[in-house]
Amino acid sequence: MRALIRKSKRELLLIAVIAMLFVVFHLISGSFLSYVTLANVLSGYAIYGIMAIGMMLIISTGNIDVSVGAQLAVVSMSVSALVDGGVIDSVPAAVLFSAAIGAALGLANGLLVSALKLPAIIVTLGTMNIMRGILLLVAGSSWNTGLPMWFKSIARTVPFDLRLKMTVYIWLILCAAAYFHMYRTVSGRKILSVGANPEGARRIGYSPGASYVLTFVITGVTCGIGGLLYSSNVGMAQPIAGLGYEMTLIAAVVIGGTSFTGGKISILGTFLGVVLLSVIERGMVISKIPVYWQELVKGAVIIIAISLSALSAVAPGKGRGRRVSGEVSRG
Amino acid sequence: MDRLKRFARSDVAAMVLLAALILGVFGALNPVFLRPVNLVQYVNNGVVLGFITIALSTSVIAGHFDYSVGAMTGFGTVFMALLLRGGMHVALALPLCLLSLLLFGALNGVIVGFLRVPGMLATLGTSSLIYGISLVLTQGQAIGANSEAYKVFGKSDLGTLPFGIVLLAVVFAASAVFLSRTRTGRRWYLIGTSPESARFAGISYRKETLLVHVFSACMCFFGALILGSRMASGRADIAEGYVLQAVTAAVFGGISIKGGSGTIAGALLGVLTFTLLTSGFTMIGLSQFYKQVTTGALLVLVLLVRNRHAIFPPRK
Amino acid sequence: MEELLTTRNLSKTYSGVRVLQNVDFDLRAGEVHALVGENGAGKTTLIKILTGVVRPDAGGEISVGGVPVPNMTPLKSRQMGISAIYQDISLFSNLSVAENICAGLKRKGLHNARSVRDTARGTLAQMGLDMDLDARMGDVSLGQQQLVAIARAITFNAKILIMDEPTAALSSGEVEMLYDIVKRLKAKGLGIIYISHKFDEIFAIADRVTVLRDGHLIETGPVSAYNRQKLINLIAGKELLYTPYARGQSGGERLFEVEGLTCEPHFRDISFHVDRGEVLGITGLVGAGRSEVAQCVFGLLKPDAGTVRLNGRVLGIRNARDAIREGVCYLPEDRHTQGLFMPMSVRENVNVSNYRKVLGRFRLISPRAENAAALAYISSLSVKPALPDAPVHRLSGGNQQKVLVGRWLNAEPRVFIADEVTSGVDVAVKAEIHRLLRSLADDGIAVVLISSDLDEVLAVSDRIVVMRRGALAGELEAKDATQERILELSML
Repeated sequence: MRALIRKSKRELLLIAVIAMLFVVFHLISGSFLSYVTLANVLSGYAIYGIMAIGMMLIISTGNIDVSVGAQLAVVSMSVSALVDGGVIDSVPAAVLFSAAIGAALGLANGLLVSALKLPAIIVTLGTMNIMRGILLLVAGSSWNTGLPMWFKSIARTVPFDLRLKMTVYIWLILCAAAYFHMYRTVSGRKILSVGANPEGARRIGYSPGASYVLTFVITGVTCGIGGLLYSSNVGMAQPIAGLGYEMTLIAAVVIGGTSFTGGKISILGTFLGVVLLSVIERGMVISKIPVYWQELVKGAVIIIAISLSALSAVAPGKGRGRRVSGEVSRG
Repeated sequence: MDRLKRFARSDVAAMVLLAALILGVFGALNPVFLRPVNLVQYVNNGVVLGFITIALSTSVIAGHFDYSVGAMTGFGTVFMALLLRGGMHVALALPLCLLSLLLFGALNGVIVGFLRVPGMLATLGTSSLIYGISLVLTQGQAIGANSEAYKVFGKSDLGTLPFGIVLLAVVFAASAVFLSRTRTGRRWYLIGTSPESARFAGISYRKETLLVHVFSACMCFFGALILGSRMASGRADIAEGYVLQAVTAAVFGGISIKGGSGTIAGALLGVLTFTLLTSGFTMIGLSQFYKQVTTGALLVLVLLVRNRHAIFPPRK
Repeated sequence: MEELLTTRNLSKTYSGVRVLQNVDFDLRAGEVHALVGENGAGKTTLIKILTGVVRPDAGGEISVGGVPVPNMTPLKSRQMGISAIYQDISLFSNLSVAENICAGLKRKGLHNARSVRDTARGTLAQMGLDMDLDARMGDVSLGQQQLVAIARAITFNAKILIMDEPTAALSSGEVEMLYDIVKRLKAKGLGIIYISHKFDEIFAIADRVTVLRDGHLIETGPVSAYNRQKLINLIAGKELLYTPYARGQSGGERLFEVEGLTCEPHFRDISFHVDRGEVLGITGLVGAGRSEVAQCVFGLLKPDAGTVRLNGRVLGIRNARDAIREGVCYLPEDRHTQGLFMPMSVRENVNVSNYRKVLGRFRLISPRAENAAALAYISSLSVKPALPDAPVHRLSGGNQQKVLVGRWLNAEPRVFIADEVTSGVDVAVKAEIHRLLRSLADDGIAVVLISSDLDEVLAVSDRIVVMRRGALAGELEAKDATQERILELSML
């Protein structure tokens, strides 16, 4: 039991911080500690939560994807166009198309990064602008409203009378799926191995490149689902959807304890990271703190999280007799 | 002869060729493009990008990546506008603004150099933070900066050339000399080439990383100065989109993403080529969005071409 | 006993240098076959050939289980049951012990945690071990990591295990455990090639021993037929490869002195001195801590205790920059990753440690002065090709080393510490470097030569300090020293 607690230090810390924030915002605004708020916290950031699952895998293997917002927008626009055109006429079809389009985008990113050995941040910077540019070209800045009811209800239904939108359930299901994939399938274990020790993985016959591609494809799929839910929820599709999402996702993942150098992931941590950011936003809204403070808070939170992760990694190596370069010297 | 041959095959030569090509194509489409008055205007448009690209390129040469250049430039314009609006004299506002940006640069330098956080991730974070601070200071609005003394920088000429171009030329010359002929500049190249060998050569990773990020912030100050005074305002998102353009220009100009190689001259050549391209697009009436797509596509294309040896190894 | 592995006529030549010559080696099932020899004797090369990493010269043969294997590759080697366990093991720190043991087994689809644990438990049982299967690899001790590496090899149905200095990182309790495991594996019919410098171990668990020297297989025989002295004699041999240099007088002015230097866990209480006109050789086995001592003096490692004196004055060196300023120069072991900047030119590499010398107007670096400095060293050290612009990665090993030497000479050293300076360098350049070191000593620079090549150490040094496992094992006058004596001190 004690071992479990020791392993989950970060997650427990996050729960404590979230609880503390609830109290703080309640004191400031007078009405934060309630089930309704909790339900809104979850529903409000469910789409981020879904997309963060993909980002978590990408960061754990040492890459970054800044084009996630653009992917969301592409799927959102294409799917709503297809719905309008009658090509998609049912929920399963919508889900299928969203996932497929997202996967294709992710595949493009993944291949450019791994097969062509180009640095992820720059590649995705490029693809992000290609996607946004094409979107704006194709759609102008017109917004597509007038989506059918059945489509809009995908995200908006509130089953089981728990005040939680469908998006939250999808989020939880995908978390469970991620857990299953990472801990119960070989490809998931490979991703973890590659993240921890790419050279070692290569020596035993794994292909780090293939794992990288997979992480980008998974991210594409989560962005696809996110795009579907986004347009369903908002009731329209906009080319500027998803702007700035990458910062929130990276923040959530890093806060949640996923390391960018060790193949360590934390599905629960990422979940809590998303919840934390949601609580911060919602708390600031309810406390009537102006919306432009949020970017600052988000940035500060990322920096603090990154610094804490770095400090805990640097500490053991510091001090006297520190090993020269991490390699075994020939003495 | 050898040197000439090497130059001819270099990336810089390819960029010169490309620039000539662009001038040729757009000139043919519309001779107005080539009028000196217009050419000066295009170059003038690229001045801010020039400063930001110097900032980014330098950090890449040293093996890092300063993603926060856009946010810092935005903050610079915001801070200047606020100080001026508060009645402060330009001569006092400028150094204060510079100081604030240098502090941000130091923050970057500490996180990357002392905490050993990878540059891209760290500066993504500080970018968000600085952008957020700008938003809070401006409450999401644009702040007017109507001081005449300030507008001098962005809108008037020094001799026959706009002040911005002159400033860029001076800063460029100084940076080029700094990078290639001072000990600190050399050390940045060394750290970018092999941090481990640099260590054994007595170079302090922490100190040099700190310095490089402060230098980058200083360049952003110049960019903010020109941009803010040109727009006569300060806005948090004023420099949004510049990061991608700077990266593209730097890659064009021969700056290697791996670090340790490339020159400021090359980077500015990349900026020039890039600016000519976009000016050409504007001239023929292509929309903003084509610009975005082409920029992104060009970046990927140039990366592919540059790295073709890694992708398609030459047959033994 | 059946023959598991046989080699006939195995040779390997690297750019004209024969590192392995006509080696006929064999391994029987159920035996522990120790492989001994100095650094550079050819042990590593032999192993690399057996594991398919390196291709032997034409005419050599390898047979596994009686079946000849003409073109050994790493994959084939593993498939045939050959498994080598190295120090830099490919372990995954975020996965569990069980998963690391089973890593690389062909699996598809679902990851069956139970079957992985069962397999792992089975392997550990075979080894007579009991470890926490769910422990995170990153939290487990170095010794246990070693055991996991062995377990992984066994899970792969290795029939032939190659262990290279397996006890280097183990505590004495873990060493006993290792002996037990080795005995069990023997009983199961595995053949183990055991590389070690520790005679205790060899006499404790090996059945046969093979001595390599200068690429030749000198002798193979049952361990019972040897004693320590006989082995040392065989390992050392009698030929001296280098002409000894004219020695200066010893007992001159004390230039450089290290006293009580300690830096846990690398070394403790190291003291030595270098007098005017002397070259001090520091030798010992891999892992003895020699490079760490040098790095500590050079400011890259922080010492726990001890003083360093130059010309009688105590030096306060906090980092490499201080060291260079005081005139202490260190030429590191690995010129590729620690010394040279490979993509950069000769000129740039030479000037790295002393830009002050080439400052011109306005304290800016003068390219002309840089070039002149580069040319000066290119010519005085005969660097070929004599082109200051040439990127260093295109030069041969010997010339690369000369560039590195040039750089540190350029830094105006008063103490010159060279670490394995002639490794990977051809014989002619080695001689040049030796001459250079002696002439530096004659010029009043305190020269320290760290080397595993005993011939070199004996030929070039005036005095020799031998280190063993982080401590001083002994100090000898070179003219009275022999290879046997040095080996004895290194290996006890």
